[in-house]
Amino acid sequence: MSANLPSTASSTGVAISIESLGKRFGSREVLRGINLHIEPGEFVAIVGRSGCGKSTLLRLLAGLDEASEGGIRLDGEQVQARNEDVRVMFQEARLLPWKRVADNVALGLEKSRRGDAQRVLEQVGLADRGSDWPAKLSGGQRQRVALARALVHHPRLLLLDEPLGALDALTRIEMQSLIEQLWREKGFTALLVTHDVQEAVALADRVVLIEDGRIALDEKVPLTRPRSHGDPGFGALERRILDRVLQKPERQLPANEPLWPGPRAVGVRWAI
Amino acid sequence: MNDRALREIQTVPLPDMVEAPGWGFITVESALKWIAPGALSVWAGGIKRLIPWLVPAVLLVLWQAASSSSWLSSRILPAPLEVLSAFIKLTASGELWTHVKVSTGRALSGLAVGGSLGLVLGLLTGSVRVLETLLDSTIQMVRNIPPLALIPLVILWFGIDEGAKLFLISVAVFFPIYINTFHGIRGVDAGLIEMARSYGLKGWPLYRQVILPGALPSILVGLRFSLGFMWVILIVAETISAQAGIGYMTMNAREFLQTDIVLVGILLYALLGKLADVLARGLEKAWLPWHTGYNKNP
Repeated sequence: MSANLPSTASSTGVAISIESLGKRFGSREVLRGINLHIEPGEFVAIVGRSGCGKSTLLRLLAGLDEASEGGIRLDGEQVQARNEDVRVMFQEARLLPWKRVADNVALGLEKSRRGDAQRVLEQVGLADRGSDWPAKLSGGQRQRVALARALVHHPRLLLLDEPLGALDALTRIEMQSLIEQLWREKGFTALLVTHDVQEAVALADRVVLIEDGRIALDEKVPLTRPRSHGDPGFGALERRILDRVLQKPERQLPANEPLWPGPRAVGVRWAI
Repeated sequence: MNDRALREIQTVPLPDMVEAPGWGFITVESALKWIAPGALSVWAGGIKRLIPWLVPAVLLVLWQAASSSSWLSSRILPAPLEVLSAFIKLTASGELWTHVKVSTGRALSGLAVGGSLGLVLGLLTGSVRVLETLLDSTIQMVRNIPPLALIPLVILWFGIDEGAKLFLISVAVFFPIYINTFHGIRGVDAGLIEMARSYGLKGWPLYRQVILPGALPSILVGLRFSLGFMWVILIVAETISAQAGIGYMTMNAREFLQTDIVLVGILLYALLGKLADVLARGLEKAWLPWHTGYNKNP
């Protein structure tokens, strides 16, 4: 487990502790009795069917919505309406179309730190696109800019709300490894909400399944990084979590054995 | 296995552009290639720019021919050349310039008063819920009164002086700008506002960097509508009563059956309207350089 954590984790990441958290919209209960503790620098993926409340949990962590009961503590402090240490990457890039790429990255940054924007653009591989309008970028490039905009503030917690959901398969794989690489370099705590179990297993130290507003599964991913989708352990774990999501009876198989003898369908992507 | 996925995606050809059915695919270039293949290479650029003027030019020639052969009485419609000479005469005497100046001054001051009121009120009701509930339904009610229906009342209030014209134009330009500003502010993507808030923007920086630029395309649409109304109301207001202005000039000429001057006046209105539209387009180009709808290559 410790091999999965970046070496700088203890210095920059934030510890999250969620205690009996609940959220209601009117009479509809979206989350109830959520208890979750996340180590500094840990990468946690939250999976679940659409409408299970996983995005709501992320919005509560970001301070975009208020909890109905219970509470969230970041490094022991109650979540405020907005926290300098927390940054969100949304499903859509949400770039301001009237600001050039570099100005989008520098949003909310003091004038003196504008040089940082250029440096972070370099890190996401868009060093030469700073003076372009967002309209000229592809979907993947826009999400890279959104990632740069989040990282320029040196967040200690990065919340990712299905940021790769709308991207094509190739761009997704590229973005996954970029996110993983930057997470390892910078050591922030990362929380990824996704409906793609494969993506969750590829990136996270821990996969948490939310079902009907509660945590139904909390599973460590004991695979070494960088992870290969072709690894038998990868496929087995992915399959097991997916079966749990689809509520099939759990298969009792050793983790390192292939699940079925025929050609392995490892290229298949499971979307729930 | 990802390699296979990669290879598959690389080899699947992208569909070529699908040709539009019907005659939609005939562009100026393809038509020219068909009519005059040799001309294309050298004159393509120039000819392409001249084509929109082809129909007006033909109409002018036909009109002149009809007048010269006295098939068309100059009482009904003077010949284009007569209109031109009237135009030159009026310009030379400086009379035309005075009238244009007076008319444009009226139009612009009406636009300034009504437009800025519409902008400010639209920004207020768009941004503050309480003001919307307080003011919007009243404004929507008043909006349904055509400004020209106010003429009798306006004459009672302001007489037939400049005040009446200013008031009418202001009322007419107010509503398009108000409504489009209001909807522009309301239409700003809530996701962008939420994002900006989560990045620490609030108050004036949020307004200036996110809400105003987001509403600007809509505000400029309102401005263009307003410019159209501005000329219509100006024409009517000036024909009611005036001591100067294009409307005065044409009404005066009508008394003396100077159809050529009447036509100069009408064409001037057309020209000024076109000029206002060009200016509005220029503003859109200058202020919305990021917008793909206004700038093909942002």
